[in-house]
Amino acid sequence: MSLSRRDFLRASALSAAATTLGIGSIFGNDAFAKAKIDKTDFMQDSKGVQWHKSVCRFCGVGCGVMLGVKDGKPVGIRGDKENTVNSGLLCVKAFYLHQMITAKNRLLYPMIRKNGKLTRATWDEALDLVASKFSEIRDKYGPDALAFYGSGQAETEETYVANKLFKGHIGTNNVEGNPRLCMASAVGGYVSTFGADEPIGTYDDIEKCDLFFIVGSNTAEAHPVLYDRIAQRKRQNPNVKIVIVDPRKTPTNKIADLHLQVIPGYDLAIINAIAKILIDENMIDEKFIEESVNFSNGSEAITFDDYKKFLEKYTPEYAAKQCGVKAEDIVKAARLFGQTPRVMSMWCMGVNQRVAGVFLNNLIHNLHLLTGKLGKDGCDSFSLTGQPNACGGVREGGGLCHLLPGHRVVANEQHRKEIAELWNVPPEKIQPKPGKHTVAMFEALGTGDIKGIYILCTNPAQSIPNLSKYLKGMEDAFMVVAESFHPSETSQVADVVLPAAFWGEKEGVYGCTERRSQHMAQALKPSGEARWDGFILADIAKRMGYAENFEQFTSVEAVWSEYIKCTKGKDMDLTGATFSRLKKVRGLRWPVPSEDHPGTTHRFTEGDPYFPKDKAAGRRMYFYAKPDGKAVIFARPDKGPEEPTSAEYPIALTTGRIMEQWHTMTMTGQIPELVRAAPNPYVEINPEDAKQWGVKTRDKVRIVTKRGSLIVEAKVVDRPRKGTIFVPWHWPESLTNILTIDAVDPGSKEPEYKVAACRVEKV
Amino acid sequence: MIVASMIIKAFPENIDEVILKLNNIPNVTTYGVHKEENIIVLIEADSEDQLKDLARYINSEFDGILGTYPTFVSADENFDEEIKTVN
Repeated sequence: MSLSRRDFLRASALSAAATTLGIGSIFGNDAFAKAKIDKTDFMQDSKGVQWHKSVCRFCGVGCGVMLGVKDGKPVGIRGDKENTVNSGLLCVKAFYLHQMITAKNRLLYPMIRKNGKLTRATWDEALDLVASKFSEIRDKYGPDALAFYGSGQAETEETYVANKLFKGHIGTNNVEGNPRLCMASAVGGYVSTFGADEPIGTYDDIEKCDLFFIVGSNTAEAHPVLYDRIAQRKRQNPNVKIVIVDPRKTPTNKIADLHLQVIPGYDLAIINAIAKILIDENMIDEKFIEESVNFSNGSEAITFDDYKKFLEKYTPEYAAKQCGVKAEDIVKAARLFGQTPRVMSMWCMGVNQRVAGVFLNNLIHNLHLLTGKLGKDGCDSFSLTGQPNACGGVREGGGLCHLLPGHRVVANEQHRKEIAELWNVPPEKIQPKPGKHTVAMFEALGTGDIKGIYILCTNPAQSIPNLSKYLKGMEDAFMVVAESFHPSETSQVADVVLPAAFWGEKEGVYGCTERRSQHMAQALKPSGEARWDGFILADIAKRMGYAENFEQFTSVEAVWSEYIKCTKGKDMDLTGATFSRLKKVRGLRWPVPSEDHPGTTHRFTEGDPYFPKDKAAGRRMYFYAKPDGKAVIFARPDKGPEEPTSAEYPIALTTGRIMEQWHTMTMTGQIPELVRAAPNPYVEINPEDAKQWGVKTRDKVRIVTKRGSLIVEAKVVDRPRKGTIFVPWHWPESLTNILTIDAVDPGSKEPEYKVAACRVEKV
Repeated sequence: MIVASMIIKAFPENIDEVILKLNNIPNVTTYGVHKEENIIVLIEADSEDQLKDLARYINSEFDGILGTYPTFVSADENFDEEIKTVN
């Protein structure tokens, strides 16, 4: 006897849950007896389903996902029990993964704008047009009249091909990606403090940590699987504490012991105050500081005494006044940090999307350097990532205007030579000057300095801050958009739209928050005429006359194999992470310099293959990306937001995500149920403010900033602090970024999405 | 018919109440508490729409829940009629 389809699916579902919890088979288990499913029948019916190993398409956690395929169609999604990132658990976004593959708005064929209208074209027509137009612009106006704008959702191989084409062959460093909008300040923090980008520790530290210090991150909603690991750690060890610094109350507060609900944009004073208390109350590791730390004020070296003097101003009372929290809570947080042996700091957009983003990253690192809580089990200064391959493709692959692959920079002559040799181009082909960063790039579209742009897997016509200023430039330039979905705000103003294969329809590598690179299998044929982005770019390269250096890219593996040569001998060495090895394992954490190397749990210390024992001479940590092996504690002042509140604009506006939607809804907007779940753009308003303004939930309110206004529905809820509103930025029909400010951090060039001044009017 | 499984993590002190409430939701079946805080839940929904509504309802409206974590979701809404073979 065989099972009905429903029984088969029930058995599959229960089996996946049981396996995830490690409670063995559902068959013969009393708890599942009511399912009444026969094991033999289940095994028989399971035979036709092939499960393909992959990685979730959404955030940067890197959860292992299995995509089930039968007869060429996706039949199921389940968490990958063998993947240690998530051990089989997924978050609710997993419910949407397979639906997006077959979404009605998948782009199935190329389109070219003719007489103002996008019309169907052949691949040859579309690619010939792109190649000829780009060549014409390059020849007439020079290479810097062209640009590439990529994505932290693109595969590493895709970003690599684009980088090679634009920086190495066209000859422009106008290569950017949307991680500039989310992670650039974290990069700036890691590089300036430790000499090299990306965290020192890994997720393994979560299960050994005693205090989680979470700043500007709604982990429960944005990174639910990591939140679960933190919650588990606390449940199993009741002494574990969780301190949150954030302007909003979020679901993450469910597990918090202390919440410092700060005024948006003013939390630097708190971190400096904590540093002062750590020193004043002798909760520092003097040996570690002596051996492994230098001090700087940002322009020159200073002494530890200078730093102490700098901190004098940052009393708990001063910080409390700046930030709108209680002084005794700051002292409590500092003592928890200082007295708890193992501490992990975690942060996300609330720290990075600020004009003081790099400063704040530095200040968080300072706390770990002062206490030596780094490079050992349960300790790290650990930035969380918003996109699945911002780390792997863009930060490691060099997909920003100042970078080259393998944590290299264009300004370094030796780095240019090394990459030029690998790309088989003369070194002078790669310009030494960084190209235009994201905001400058879109500004240049408006001024006409950039005349042609290739946009891959992202939607800047919705995601750029102070949007009204930049939309016309996007319309005026020759814009090529490679996307899996159409229309998006960007694709509908493009001149050429190219259909890209989506998750599950292509293989490739994603690198997540903890330095782990993971292979995703191709489980399905691309929809319609869609093609892999890497092949599209290589095809354009050939049509522009660069065939010699792109014709070897006949497979994804060929691209990966060339890419990992760029990493040989670097701090992010991936040469041991060959494609064939990655297909077998659940990812590898670099540095992984050989095929028999297991990967690295902590950098800059014993166990890191590049840890120089001779130079370290007994030191526990040696930051080998710095000339003397010492990290830097920075004296950074408590810089506030670019646009403080004022009499005319008395309310602080913050923006962010909600659980049901992701980014600009290019993907989640394809799911009618999700759109219905949160159909209307809204603003969260604190009940005290709402009372004062006479506003109730579902009332319409107008939000006004210096840049524009937007009418949305009010949601009165005790989440934002009084004087602050929160607006999700997902809905294309209600462009939140009309309101946001395009001021950028001077170091990272990341815009300040998290703070702007506004007023709210009842409509 | 969409079939999905989830692990619902609840505070141990709230777990009995959570199970009681879950069992009152049509199309939701619980399969025991495992390792103190994990409730295995099977959802058999008429559509993707209903599945997500249920998941959202559970996640946002239940007190005492730490999180909801899908472990499996079927991808085809038209499977229910496919009875393969009997005997």
